[in-house]
Amino acid sequence: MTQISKTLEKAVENFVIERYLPILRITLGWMYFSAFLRRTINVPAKLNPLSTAYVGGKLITFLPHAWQPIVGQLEWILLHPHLLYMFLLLFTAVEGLFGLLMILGLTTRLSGLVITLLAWSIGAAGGWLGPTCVDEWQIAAVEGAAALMFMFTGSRWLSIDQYLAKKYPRGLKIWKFYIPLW
Amino acid sequence: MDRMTALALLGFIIATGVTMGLYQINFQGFTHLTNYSKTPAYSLAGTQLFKNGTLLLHVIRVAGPDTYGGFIVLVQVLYPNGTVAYEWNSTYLGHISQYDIINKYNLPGHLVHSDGFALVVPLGQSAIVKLYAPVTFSPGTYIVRVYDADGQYEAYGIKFQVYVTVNE
Repeated sequence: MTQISKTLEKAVENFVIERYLPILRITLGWMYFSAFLRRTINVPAKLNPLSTAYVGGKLITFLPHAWQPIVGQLEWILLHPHLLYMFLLLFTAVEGLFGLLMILGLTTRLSGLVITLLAWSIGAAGGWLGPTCVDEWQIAAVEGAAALMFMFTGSRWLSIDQYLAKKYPRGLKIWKFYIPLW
Repeated sequence: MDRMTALALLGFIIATGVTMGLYQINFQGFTHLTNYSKTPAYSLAGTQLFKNGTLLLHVIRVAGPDTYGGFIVLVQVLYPNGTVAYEWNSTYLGHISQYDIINKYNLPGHLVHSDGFALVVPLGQSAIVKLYAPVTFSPGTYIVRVYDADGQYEAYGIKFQVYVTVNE
C-alpha cells in the first residue's frame, strides 16, 4: 500500500512539473524559428551574398577569438563563398525546422539535441562577442542548457508528442532498438 | 544509483561544464575577465616598407565591436627612437582607392575601405593596404604604427605597431 502511494505521489509530481515545461519550450523554439523568419521573410537580404546585410559576413567577426580548432574551418569556408552560401542555407533551414518542432512539441527530445549542438557551436565560434555585456556566451550557455534539459525530459503537455507517446510509448523503433524521440 | 539519476547527473555535469568552460575560454571569467568586444585592436604582422616610399600595410582587426568598423585615422612610420619619419593622416586614409586595398575575405559590408574620414576595418577582416609616401626611406629598421579614431595605439596589451626593415 505504501509503495502504491509513493508511486502515485511521484506520478502526480511529474504531472505537475510537466505542466510548466512549455513556458520554456515555446520561447526556446522561437529563438531559432524566428532566426529563420528574419532571414527568409523579414530581411531576405540576409541570405543574399551580394547584399551588405549578408549574414555570411557575421562569420568573419567570429574569427579573432573563436576556439582555436574552429578557426581553420571558419577561414576555409569564408574563402569558399559558394560553400559558405550552402552552409548558411542549411544552417538556416536546420534552425527553422528544429525551432518549429520545439514549439510544436514534435520530437522534442531530438530537437533538444539539435538545438544544444547549435547553441554550443555558436558559443565556441562567436561566444566571445559581447559589445554590451558578455552577450553571446549568455545566449549560448542558457539556450544550450535548456535544450539539453529538453533532450532528457521531453515535453508532452501542450505538444504533439503526447499523441505519439500514447501510440508509441517506448519511442521510435529502429531494428530492435527504441529511440525515445518524444 | 538508478539509471535516471545517473543520466540527470551526466546532463548536469555536461551543461555546467560547457557553461563554465565557455565563460573561462571566451572571457577568462575566472581569472582575468576580458571582453574583446569593447574597444578596437589591430594586428599589423606581415607589413612591409620599401625604400621607394611604399608601405604595404597588412592590417587585421582583432578586437572591438562587431556591429561597426574600427577607424584608423593615422599611420606613422617611426625611427626606432620614436621620431616620425613619415605619416599618413585621416584625409589621406579616408580617400584610398579600393584598387589599393586587397581584402582577404570578399564579403560585402565587411570590406576594409575608405569612407571619406578614415580607413574602416571591420572586425575579423584582413587586408593589405598600399600607401604611398613622396619620400624615400633609408635602409634600416622602422616602426609602423596605426592609431584608432579613439586616439589609442594600444588595447588589451596589444600595440598596433610592428617593426619593419627597409632593405638596400
